[in-house]
Amino acid sequence: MFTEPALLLGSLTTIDMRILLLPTLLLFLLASGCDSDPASVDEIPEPELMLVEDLPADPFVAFVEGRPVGTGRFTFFSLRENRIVPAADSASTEWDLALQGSLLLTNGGTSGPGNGGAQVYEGIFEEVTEAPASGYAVDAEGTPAITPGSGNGWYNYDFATNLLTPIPGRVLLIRTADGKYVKLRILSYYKGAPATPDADSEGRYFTFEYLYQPDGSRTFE
Amino acid sequence: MHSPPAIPLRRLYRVALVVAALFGLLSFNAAAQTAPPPDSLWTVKMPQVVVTATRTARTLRDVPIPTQVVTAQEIEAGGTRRLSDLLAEQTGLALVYDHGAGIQVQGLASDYTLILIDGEPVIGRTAGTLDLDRLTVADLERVEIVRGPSSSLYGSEALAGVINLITRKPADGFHAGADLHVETHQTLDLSADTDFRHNRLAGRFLLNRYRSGGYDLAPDVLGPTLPGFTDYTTSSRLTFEQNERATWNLSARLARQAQRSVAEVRLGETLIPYDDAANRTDWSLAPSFTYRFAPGVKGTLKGYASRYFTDLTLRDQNDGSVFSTSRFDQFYGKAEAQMDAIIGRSQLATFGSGYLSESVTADRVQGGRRSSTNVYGFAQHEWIASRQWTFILSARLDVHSDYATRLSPKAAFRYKPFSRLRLRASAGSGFKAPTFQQRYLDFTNPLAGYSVFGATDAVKALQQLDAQGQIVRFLTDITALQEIRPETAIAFNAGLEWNPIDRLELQLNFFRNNVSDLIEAAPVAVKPNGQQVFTYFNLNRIYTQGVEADFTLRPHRTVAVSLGYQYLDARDRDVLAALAEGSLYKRVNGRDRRVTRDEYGGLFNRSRHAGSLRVLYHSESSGFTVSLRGLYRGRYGFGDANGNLILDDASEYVPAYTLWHLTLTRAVGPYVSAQAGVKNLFDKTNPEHIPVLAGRLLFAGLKFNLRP
Repeated sequence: MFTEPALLLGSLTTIDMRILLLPTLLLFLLASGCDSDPASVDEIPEPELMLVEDLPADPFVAFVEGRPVGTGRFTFFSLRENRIVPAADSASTEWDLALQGSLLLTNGGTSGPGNGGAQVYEGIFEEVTEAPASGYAVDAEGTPAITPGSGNGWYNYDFATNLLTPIPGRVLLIRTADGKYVKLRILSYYKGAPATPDADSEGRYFTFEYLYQPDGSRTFE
Repeated sequence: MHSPPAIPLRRLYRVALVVAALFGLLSFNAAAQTAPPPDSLWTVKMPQVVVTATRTARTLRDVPIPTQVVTAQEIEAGGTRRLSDLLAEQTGLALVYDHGAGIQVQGLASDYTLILIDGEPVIGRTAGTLDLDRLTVADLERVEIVRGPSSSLYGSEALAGVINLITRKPADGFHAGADLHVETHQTLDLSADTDFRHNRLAGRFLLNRYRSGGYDLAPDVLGPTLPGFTDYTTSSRLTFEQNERATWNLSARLARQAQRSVAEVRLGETLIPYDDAANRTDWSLAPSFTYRFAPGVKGTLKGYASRYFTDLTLRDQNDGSVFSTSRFDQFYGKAEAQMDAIIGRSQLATFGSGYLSESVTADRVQGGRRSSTNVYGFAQHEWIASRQWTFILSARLDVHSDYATRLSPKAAFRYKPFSRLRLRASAGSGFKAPTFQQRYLDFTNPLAGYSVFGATDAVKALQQLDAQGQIVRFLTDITALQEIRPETAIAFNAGLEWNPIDRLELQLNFFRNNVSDLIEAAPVAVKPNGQQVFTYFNLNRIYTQGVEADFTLRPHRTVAVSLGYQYLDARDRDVLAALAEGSLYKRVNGRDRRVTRDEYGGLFNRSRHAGSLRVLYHSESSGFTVSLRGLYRGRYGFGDANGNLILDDASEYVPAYTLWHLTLTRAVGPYVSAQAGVKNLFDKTNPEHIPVLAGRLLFAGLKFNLRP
């Protein structure tokens, strides 16, 4: 098998066999070797599709008045390195995406010191070959770049079933803390990414795929 | 307060079945020997008179507006007990369950159909549904179903149609009746009624008790699929003809329902069983006075008061503590005057005006209690231009304290090129007032922190929040917020009735309803906690169109066979626009792609195809009646399963199904008839999507009809 940066990733795995080996190795190289070995043009990896499974985003830990609540903490994630960033580094530019429940923040504006931002793009993930030059919002007090609320951002919420479903045809275009571009598609909000979540499904676990362009261009090809 | 023990009821049920069967068998000869009147179906010999379509008594054939009548004989032949069951058997009407059984007319949701009893509205809707299980059909002479908007006469809610329950008129002399009906699931329906007419005084009184034991299609889950309930209804009417000119009327109705159930609520890791108690009371009082100024000139003064209140309590089974309570209390008061005048020989004018006051007391209503007023006037002119042509124009103006003034016009004509063919067409507008929730809601989710304000108070509430520093940012200019408008429709109906020979009749009606200004909640501001403040806006547009067809054949004097069919196409116009734009997507095997127009199945809960087959045999000489009904409901969408909120995937459909009902009735001497039958003959169930489909039900009953 392969050596994944499992120590850092925790429960995350990359499963698409076609894309497993190369990015994992490259990421490993990136993660371990970038500082000492400045990358030449040849060494900048091709953008590869990454799959993140069951990333916990403040899962429910207790019940208050019969309703499940979490601890209120964010999970910080580096899209560049496909790993969870310790909460201690929340004030750094280490992370690109912070997740708590259905709320997604990017590393910029009121959320972090980075150059991050995002926009919700309507279209098909595979068809997004280039990130738009403009249209990115930056997190501000009360108005995150990825607008919360049913139908506004990445999900629909069904009051009848209390289920949260990713909206097909929504692509999150995210600027990383260091100003690089990512296209990201949420696949599931529930643990194990069940095909049809039900009342027993455990929420606040993200499964998503994304493509990170490390060369700083806006192209995803 | 618990339901009576089940055993005596079961015993009663068995006894009644046996008694009914015995009556039927033993009396066969006796009944056959009574003087035989000529065999015939009780197709009404007198022209059927209807009142709903024009607010005046007109013969059904002359009305230019699609009107259907279900007679007491048909109700009795079918053996249905509640209005929901009766309407479910009519072509083109579908029951939709959302906090009760509502009726879908021409593909429009149940909150768009006005339900009347003797011309006065039944109030009390939950989530838009007026639960038709509430209403007994025991004392009805007929039910009139008018399709298409009638807001030009009735105002709000008469957008898709009007269903008017006409109670029995007392005949001369004295009459008393009793009715006993037992059914699977410990359903017991008991009625006693009496009416009289003596000189100038006439009266009618009904007492009905309906109890259902409920049933459980999913025994592994605590609590029944459909909880049992007990419902009492009393209904009475007194008429005094003071003289040739003046008539006084008083109608009163009181209904009370108690429902007991159990439910599980998940609290953390444990499931806590709760006793669920729901009580509902509604009453109405309708005094009226009619004065005949001259032949053909009549004035009516009417008052109407109605109250509807419910309380719900969830109580912990372990310690008896109250987990939650909820109450709702609605009052509706109306005073109205109407004049009808025949002018010359061919003009009929009807006009009137009224004052309507409503109030609601409920949890989550701003201030706990709110009230509103509505002043209205309406006028209708009918012109019988010739033997062939009749024209009707009508309009109503509603000035309401909570929403924008609304004018609802309607025009209709009937053309009879020859006696066996009648053509008719109408165009009209209808509206539905914003609900109490859409007007008065004041709700902040204690955990999520978002807020929703009803449209009536939205601006004030937002300004208040802003003054308290509770608004970070407005998403729209709230000073430019438009006054909320009712949901409105423009509708067209055109059809024909053709009886090429006496034994054959064909009815066709094409319809198109454009409904706009559908009210939805949308965010207007952002609070410091990042959550949004919502209020209600006029947003969506839908349409429904299709054709209703009924074909009736009487191959023999004793037999009638009817075939009914409805084709329905109901779509959201904003979804259609998004589809044309290519901005709606679906996820198939993990990949996103655009939804095609062909994949869009239209609005949820609408069957494209629905049909019915009805066979009725009635022999006056043997006193035997057989009623067989087959009801087909084509597949329909139940909800979104793939995240794009529209119906576009095979997994989002409830499969088509057909129900068969068989009822046998036999006259047992002059005063008694016995009935037995099966509902849902082939035991169709669908616990997941249609929990109200109870499976096969057996029933039997006895009806006593004393007219000395």
